[in-house]
Amino acid sequence: MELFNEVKNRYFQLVFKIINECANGKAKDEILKIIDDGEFEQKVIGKNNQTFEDIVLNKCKKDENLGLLIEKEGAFYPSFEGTKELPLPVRFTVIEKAWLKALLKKDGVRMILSNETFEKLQKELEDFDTPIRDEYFEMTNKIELPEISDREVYHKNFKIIMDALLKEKPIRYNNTDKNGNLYSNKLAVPVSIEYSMRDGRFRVSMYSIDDKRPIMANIFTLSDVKIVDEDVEIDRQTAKNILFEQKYSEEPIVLEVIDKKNAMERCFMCFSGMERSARQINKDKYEIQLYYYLFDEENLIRNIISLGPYVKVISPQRVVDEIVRRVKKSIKMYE
Amino acid sequence: MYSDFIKNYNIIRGILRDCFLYGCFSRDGMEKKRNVSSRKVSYEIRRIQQYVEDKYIKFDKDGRYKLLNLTYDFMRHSDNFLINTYMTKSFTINSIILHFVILLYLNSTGKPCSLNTIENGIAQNSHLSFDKISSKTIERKLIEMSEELGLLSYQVIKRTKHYYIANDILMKFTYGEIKELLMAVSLYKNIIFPITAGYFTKQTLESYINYEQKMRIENVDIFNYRQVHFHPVIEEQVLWDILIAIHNRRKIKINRFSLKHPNNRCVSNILSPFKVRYDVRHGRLYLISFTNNNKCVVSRLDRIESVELLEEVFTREDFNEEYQRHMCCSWSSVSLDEGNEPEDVKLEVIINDESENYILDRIINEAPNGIVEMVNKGQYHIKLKVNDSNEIIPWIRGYAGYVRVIEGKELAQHLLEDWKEMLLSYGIV
Repeated sequence: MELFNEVKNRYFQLVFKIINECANGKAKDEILKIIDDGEFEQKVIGKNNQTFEDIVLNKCKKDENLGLLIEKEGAFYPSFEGTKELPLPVRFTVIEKAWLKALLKKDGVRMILSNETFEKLQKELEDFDTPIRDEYFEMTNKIELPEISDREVYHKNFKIIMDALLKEKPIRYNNTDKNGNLYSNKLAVPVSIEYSMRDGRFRVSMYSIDDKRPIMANIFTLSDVKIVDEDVEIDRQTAKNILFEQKYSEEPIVLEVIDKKNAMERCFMCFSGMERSARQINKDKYEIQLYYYLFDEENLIRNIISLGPYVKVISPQRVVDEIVRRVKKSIKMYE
Repeated sequence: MYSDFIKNYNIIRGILRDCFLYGCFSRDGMEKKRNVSSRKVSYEIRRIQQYVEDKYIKFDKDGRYKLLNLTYDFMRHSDNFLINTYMTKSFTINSIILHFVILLYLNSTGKPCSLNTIENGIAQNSHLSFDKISSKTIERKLIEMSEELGLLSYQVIKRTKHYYIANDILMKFTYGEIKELLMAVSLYKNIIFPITAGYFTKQTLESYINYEQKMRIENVDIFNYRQVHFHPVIEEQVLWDILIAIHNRRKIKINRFSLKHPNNRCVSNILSPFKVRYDVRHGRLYLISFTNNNKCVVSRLDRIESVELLEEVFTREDFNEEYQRHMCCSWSSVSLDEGNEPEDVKLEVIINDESENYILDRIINEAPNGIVEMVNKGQYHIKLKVNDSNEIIPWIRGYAGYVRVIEGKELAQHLLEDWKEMLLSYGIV
């Protein structure tokens, strides 16, 4: 099966949905709503200016209609005699089964799936051969962190935090920082579990009720984590908004990029996950505006310097000064 | 059907990359960069605007020019919107009708049926006219739906294939277990390549919950990602073909885009595909393969147009040592040239303030196989072996002010010149 396959076309999915929704009859307006939610903005789909609605609701010439619905007493039903209560079954494709089998090989999946679920899926897929295998991949430019010593605690913490997130409840916990300082009985609202592709670690983003600010913690350094029923003045969505608003830079970092030695491509790839605007100044010169989170500023500065002499910060001056300071210090190290 | 659908994903790969990664080209700029007609650029841009949700599309203005820009913020958006571009393959009206009629019929009978039975059954039970659809077409569709897609299975009775709806692998799962699975799929859909397959799996699982379980789907929005690039998805059709070749030990030929002339192609020698390397920092995928003469060939996936699977097979084990020899000291994609030895590099890390000790930890964690030695308090030496020291220059530059090269004369000189050029670019002589 090709990854780019017609059965995954959104209109295939839309027809699938319409047929199943019509099992017990659906009024025209209800079908139009499903179509409206799922189709492209451009309505014309057929050669003779037909819309998808025309084709589904049999408004075209006989051989131009899908003919998969039939109208009876003001409602539409699947046009097939003897359909079951669920006219179309839901089944995974070969590619999806291959991906699910690869999922079972990931360490972290055991933190989410119970033993029963894991074993059931493993049994169902035991004879299925998947080309998605870790041995065919190698990740580079990653960060190799020391092994987590107590994986049992890590897994337990992960489960409790995930549960708290789903129930939208605060947690109480102890945390030990990298210098060995213990912070006891802290209260926080979990905002999300964050996965880093570079170091393969899960961390928890929270809003600390004690410190009244967003914080990030390693899941494995937490202990005695429990979901609590305490009243806190903030919910998860508000905490999220605070993170987005308070931590977002007011002014962007403006870069000038000269396209030498693939600097442009490297630069744009490096910053592809950030909100940005770009324009071409002349043949080989580009300007990019990067909007960023303040907690990420140090990483961003290091990334900019790492791109070398063809990427220059235009503003803010504060960042220019910091880069110049570091570069001067580097030159001094060779003197 | 529908001019906005496409037969081949390659039609939009180039322009999608240009809009998403760069977002700085006007239509005119795009025409020049891609060396294609303005009509083609207009078609492709219009398609992308259809495929991608409005919230990710931004039009910047540069004088009189409009610049199409696809952008997102990793904290706010964890769903890779480029996946939508994989849901656009063109199809014929007969193909979609046959697909659903076969499923409707086999689901209603609930037993294995031969081609003949299916053909008669759908003619009798549907209100459709099958004058234009031949038995051969129905047979081809059945083969596609069973062998290629896996939506049907078949058993052979008296040398005739009897088709039925594929087994439901989730039949023995409770609703709670299916919800657990949805959670795991939601998390890993951005992590396991091909990412597109993860999103498809999530979509099917949600349909399953909705229709087979008749339960409401709860939106799982509790995961966020760092350093997860969205753009590698654009290369996943090629990645999938490569994985099939690696897995089946099939040799391949690859058709590459020409760098200077995007409309030109060149075909590679016969290759044994061995491994895919993913540069996490830049979001680049590479294929590491070997020629029949054991020469190591590294190919960027964004420069591969298509992969041709050959009948000839290879033995994977033959290349284990070769791969190690060529790539063990590569930081990203540079292989070791024949007859060369890896370069020795020695770095000095200076940490003046104890509060900056984390910098040393970070450097050690980022340097694969680096050997660290503490010389004095706050002074450390790190020995590395690398295929090509040019590959580690960006990494060293990132630690400006903390690291200097003490072994690797050319590397040290290169870095010093870079620093001076950087100061010069800021107007400091």
